[in-house]
Amino acid sequence: MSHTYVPVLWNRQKKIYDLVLWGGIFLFLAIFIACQLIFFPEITAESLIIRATGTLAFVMLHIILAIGPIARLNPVFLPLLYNRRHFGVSMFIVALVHGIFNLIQFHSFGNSDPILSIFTSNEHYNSLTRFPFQSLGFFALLILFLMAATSHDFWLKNLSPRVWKGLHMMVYVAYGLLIFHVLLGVVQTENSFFNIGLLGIGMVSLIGLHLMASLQELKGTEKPDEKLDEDFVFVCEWDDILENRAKTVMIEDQNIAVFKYDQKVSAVNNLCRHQNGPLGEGKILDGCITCPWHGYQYLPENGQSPPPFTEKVETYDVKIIGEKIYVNPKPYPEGTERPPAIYTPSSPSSNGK
Amino acid sequence: MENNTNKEDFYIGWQDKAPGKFGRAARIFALLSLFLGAMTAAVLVINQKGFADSVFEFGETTQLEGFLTLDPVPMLRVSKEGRSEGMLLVGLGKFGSEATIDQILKKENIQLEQDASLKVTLKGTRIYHNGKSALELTDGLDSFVGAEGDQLKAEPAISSFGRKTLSGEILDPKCALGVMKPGYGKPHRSCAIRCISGGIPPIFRASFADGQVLHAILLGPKGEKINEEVLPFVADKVRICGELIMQDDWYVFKLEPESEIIRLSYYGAEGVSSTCGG
Ligand code: HEM
Ligand code: FES
Repeated sequence: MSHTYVPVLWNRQKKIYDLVLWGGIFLFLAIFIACQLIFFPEITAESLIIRATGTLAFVMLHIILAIGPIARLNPVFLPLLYNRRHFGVSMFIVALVHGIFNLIQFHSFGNSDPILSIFTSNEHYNSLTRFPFQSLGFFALLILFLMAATSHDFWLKNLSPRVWKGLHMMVYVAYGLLIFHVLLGVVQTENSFFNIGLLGIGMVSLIGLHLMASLQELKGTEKPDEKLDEDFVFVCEWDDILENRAKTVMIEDQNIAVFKYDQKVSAVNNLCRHQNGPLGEGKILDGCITCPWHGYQYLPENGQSPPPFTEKVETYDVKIIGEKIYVNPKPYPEGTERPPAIYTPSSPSSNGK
Repeated sequence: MENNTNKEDFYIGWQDKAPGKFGRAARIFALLSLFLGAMTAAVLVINQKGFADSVFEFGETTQLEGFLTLDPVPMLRVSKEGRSEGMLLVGLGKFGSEATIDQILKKENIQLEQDASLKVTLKGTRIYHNGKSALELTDGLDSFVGAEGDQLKAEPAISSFGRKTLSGEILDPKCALGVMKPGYGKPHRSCAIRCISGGIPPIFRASFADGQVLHAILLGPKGEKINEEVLPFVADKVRICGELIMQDDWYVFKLEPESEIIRLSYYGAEGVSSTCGG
């Protein structure tokens, strides 16, 4: 096994997560099918499968997109975030069933290639209400496929976190496509108050949660401008940071986490090299800064992951004068050793230059 | 101040067991998601518009004796409860029946005239809805069981209702009569386009305020096929002008020459009126 990525471990938490996830999937399908058979049993089996899986995949996508901001708003929800990719892959599988059944039912056994037929049977691309909404579903499914296929950490490492993150941010493009897939599709026939209402509630909740989380982050990350001299900027008072915790500041485009531990202070770049998790919201465990998202670790003095791991973050110079903590926002290359600033109650100390 | 060994307030994914409050949060989240998901499923299903009580006897073929005729479109005229009923013949999948019938006739060395009928036994899958039915020639060439006697001149009972305007949807009868539910409207449009471009004769469906539905076979001014011409208008609410005819038990609508198919708004009223144009 390579040491260049942390293999996804199969621990008890994950087993419970998957059990609950798939239990939920089957429960949803059971309720959908039961209601259908009680209220409208005339439906064909294909339509039932298409509707049940389409609706389920879209509901799952909402939950997936809600987990991010909810975990940022309250860290007690972080375990949900950690295992989210299982949720994503499961959602893709459900959506794939929907897509395949649609392809078979509406586009196969005819005088055209089924995939081509998605794009060419209805050609009203210039009309909103007549728009071939299936094409939007197709592209959304393609995005979900790329995400599911690259969800493993192996790909994260190989594509580089920046590319990987960019690819996985496409989930918002997929969400937008699907809103219109539903709005220009089934809502055009089943245009009930509930249909449109639920779509609206889903959208408003997601946008609201994301806004709240961003607002909180803006408030959490201070942009100090009180300077000590040319280089050092005031961060906060010694007592403002809890032991083994950090304060996150944004200075000159540098996102810096200033950690306090063992009467010392060290500063590293706030972005975890795994998936840009916020190191400043993590904690020092067993002497290592531990990322709150998936537990990658870095030594506070040099920003290096302890061997055998090889991740490194940038480091910064820090200074303590009296009770005041200062940082120099000029980054050192990833993994550069910088001595911590030592705190001596009411006596100045610095790691100097 | 906190100390180093207190891990109660910090969970990392690789820990085997999450501290209490994390587990509680996850449980609450899971239960809430399940509840909201279940509500969504129930609310959406219960508020569906409902489906036709149409039937496609999928997986079950029936052998039927009747008269094969090509006018106005390929049909098998069977007698049902003392009346003659025209079953539209359609192919397997999204194809019309013409290719299959041609092959059958060629193989049997029969030259069936447009205005003739021939007593045959066919095997296929029945599709029916509201007194109208179709037969899918599921087994291709093997759908033909046998013919009996010579071809006779078909003598359909024809009556004309004159020039009419119909407002409604152009559909493929295979899906509309039962293969798919819903077999009309926006989600089904591309399928209907596939079927009609595959040779299944388009029909015009107009539903009236009182719930009655009129299904008319849609043809060109001279009774010719107009499958390609109607494709851009399929499963859209439209108004057409032409002659409404009753041929045996099927309405037939012949589009007026040079008349346009006019798109209506989604909420436009459907029905029949005696004025044309405008
Ligand atoms: C190849 C890709 C896809 C095709 C061809 C497709 C096609 C369709 C069609 C024809 C309908 C209307 C079905 C009906 O009358 O009930 C529909 C509905 C729907 N689709 Fe898709 N879809 C695709 C991908 C997706 C994906 C990826 C999602 C979500 C993750 C999705 C979510 C939905 C939802 C929520 C509905 C409304 C509920 C329903 O009626 O099924 N679709 N889709
Ligand atoms: S982002 Fe995954 S461990 Fe930091």
